[in-house]
Amino acid sequence: MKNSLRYPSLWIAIGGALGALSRHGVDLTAASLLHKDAGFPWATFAINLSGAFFLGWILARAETGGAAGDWLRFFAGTGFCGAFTTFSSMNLQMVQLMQSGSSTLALVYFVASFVCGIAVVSAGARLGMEKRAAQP
Amino acid sequence: MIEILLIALMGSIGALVRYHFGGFVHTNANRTLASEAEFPFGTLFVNALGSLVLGLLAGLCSREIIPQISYLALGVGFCGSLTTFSTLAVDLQRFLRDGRFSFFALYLLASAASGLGATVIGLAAARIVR
Repeated sequence: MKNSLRYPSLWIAIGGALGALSRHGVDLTAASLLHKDAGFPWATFAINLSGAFFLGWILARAETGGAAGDWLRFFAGTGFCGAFTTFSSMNLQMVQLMQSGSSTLALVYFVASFVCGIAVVSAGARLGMEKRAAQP
Repeated sequence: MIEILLIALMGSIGALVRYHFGGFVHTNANRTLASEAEFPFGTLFVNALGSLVLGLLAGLCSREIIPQISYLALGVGFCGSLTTFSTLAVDLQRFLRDGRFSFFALYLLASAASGLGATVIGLAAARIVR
């Protein structure tokens, strides 16, 4: 795929900064709303699913190509969604759940993240393709 | 305020390392294996690397060897941005959609095993630091 966007790294950096800040913002909000030891890592779960849905939508929309498509892919996709969602925190939370004796919850978290994650990617991609078909 | 700036800065560096270093690993691993299949080695690698570092940082921070601000900058900012769930989910969804079930199973297992394994190693390494 030929890249027609100038300075893709700049857009990835800006999207990455916004993604990391948004993730931290959701984490802080959830921590103030939920009980400290809520058990299930709702914030990261919601972050990962919403980011996966958005990336599915972005990649479907961006297939039209051109500078706008590349901008979507680099800024919103690689930059924002990539940085907003996280795999390292998810692993740390699973290990911490297992260490605190909640292996069942860790397993539920793992299975739910992947099953729902793949489902929302499909939903996002379908929505992105419909939008593209509607506006040729 | 300084936390916000550090998370933004380290978050952008994490995203750039994921794209450039992950892309480098992806290209070289697939070329070395002469695979036409394009297995997502880059994402797999940065996800494992970020999990290792986050485990180490979390362990060091809980023992108060490093301050909270370093954890926010390097853990939340850098590692959080370096690793990604959205691309992992997209690649898994595409393997399923295209009926490449062995790739799907291999990628899911490799991601889970390397991510959890790296986190455990990182946490263990933090315990032996004096």
